[in-house]
Amino acid sequence: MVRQALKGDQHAFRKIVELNEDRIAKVVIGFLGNTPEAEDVGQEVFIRFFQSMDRYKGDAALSTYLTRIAINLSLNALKKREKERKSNLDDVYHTVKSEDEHLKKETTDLVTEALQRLEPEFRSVVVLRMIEGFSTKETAEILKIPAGTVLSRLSRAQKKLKDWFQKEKMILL
Amino acid sequence: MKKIEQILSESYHRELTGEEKNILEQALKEDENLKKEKLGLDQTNELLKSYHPVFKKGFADRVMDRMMEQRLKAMDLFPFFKKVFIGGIAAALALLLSVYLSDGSIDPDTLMGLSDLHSEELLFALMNF
Repeated sequence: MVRQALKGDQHAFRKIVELNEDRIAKVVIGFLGNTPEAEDVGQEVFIRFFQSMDRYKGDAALSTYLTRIAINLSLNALKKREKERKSNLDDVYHTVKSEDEHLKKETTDLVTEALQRLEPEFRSVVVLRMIEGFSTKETAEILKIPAGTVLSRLSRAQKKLKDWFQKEKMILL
Repeated sequence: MKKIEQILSESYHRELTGEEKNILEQALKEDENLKKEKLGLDQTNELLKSYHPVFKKGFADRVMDRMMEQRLKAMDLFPFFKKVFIGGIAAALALLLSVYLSDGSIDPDTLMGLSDLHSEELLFALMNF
């Protein structure tokens, strides 16, 4: 399919988008929440791939390759957001929270909201390890932090999420 | 976080040592709170595994539109227009030069090919036309 897309076959490229958009949504919405920014980053993932398609050698599965692009772009967007948050008192999480309060409290929305409540460093490990299913070692490599840090962040993040889900009655103990 | 809770939490993300496994198993048999904690973490993990957000409908269309937009931008037409413009200027200069060389002037009458005609001849020419 990539070969066909490289030859300029738009249908082949569209197929690549359709087959992978859900996986990319998981990463970018997990990182950035259900926001226009996430949609923009999601589109950018495929545009970047389109622009550098000739460099894709097929060493990794296409979905993994695209996921890596999505992770990098999401992390960049998070960093940018953090910078803006620090220089702007209009905290993005407050915005997300107040917007989400009006949304239907479906599982996906609630998980998205719970993820957005985590600090970015905790959210990153949760998305990569617990949602995307990378190993602890791979997560550490992607985020360029020690595996021990990944584990301690996961422990704290899990606890926070569990408490939040319990409060929202999404889990019953 | 208590050490045993830490081990419980990490058990989801790394292989525990034999000793840690034994400690955890024993603690789970004896400690009701820890059992509850495990149940909570199990459900939390399940929720995260089943997390499946999607983009708004028509995502692929929007990507294709954006791609086309970028393609058009990338196909910069400026070099084409630049070539045509330079070619045009060169042709005009060549024409002016040839007119100047053959007639010794580039005034409007010369350019129109009327420099050799006197006003009477011009009138006669127009009347016959």
